[in-house]
Amino acid sequence: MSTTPHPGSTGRAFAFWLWAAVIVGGLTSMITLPILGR
Amino acid sequence: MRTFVRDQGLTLGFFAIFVLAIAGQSVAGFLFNNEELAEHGRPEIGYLDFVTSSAFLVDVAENWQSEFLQFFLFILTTIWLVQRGSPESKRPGDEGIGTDEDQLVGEHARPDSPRWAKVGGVRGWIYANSLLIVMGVVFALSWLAQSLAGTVVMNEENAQHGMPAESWASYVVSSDFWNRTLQNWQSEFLAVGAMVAFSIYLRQRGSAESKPVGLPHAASAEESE
Repeated sequence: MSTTPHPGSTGRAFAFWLWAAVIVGGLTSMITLPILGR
Repeated sequence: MRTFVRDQGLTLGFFAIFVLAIAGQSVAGFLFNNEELAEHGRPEIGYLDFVTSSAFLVDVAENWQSEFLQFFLFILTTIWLVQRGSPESKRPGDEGIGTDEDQLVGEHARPDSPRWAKVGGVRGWIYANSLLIVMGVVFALSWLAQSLAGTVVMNEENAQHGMPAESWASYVVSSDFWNRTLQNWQSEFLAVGAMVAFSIYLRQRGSAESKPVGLPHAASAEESE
């Protein structure tokens, strides 16, 4: 990470974190809402 | 900006159709849910109440778990099982986890290899299995979510019919839970098997999922390189 980014590394990281956010957000709500009795 | 969009076209394209599909599912599910409530003479609920309800979440979760199970099993089984002629498979004889030299790990790592591919030890093992681990964790959590939301939905129905509430432990051995689970699994396994088998003989020119059109049926995509 401390080295010069490779070409396109910003986009690759964006693609990775976009999907990570969708999955973490989805799983968190799908687990917590039923526990809260929704 | 144009380069950025082109370079992430596959993930951005799928993100867009994912958002459209889940939005469509939520609207159709909302309308269907309210029709059901009206038929039973119960008050309708608002859209936001529906999309945060277990009735919606159980339907989302049961599909998520099966998709991630599909990829988990595909990644796992293709380590040791092969299908001659399929671009989804390694070459017969290449079964197994490969040598450190083939995998560019430890002392065989390149200067530009990921850091955890160079280090070995626990971090090296985790990184070497990270795709399978993450797919497996997402599968397990989605399946857990399906069981939790399914229990709530089941107990709402039980309450309406004047029946006692069911525990999570009894829901996960219920016919409703396994009906929802297995109807998704069967279709995933069918589609993966069909993809592996059909890609031996069939082609899609230009697709990363296909062998080149003129490559013989016996060859895998790997052999074409």
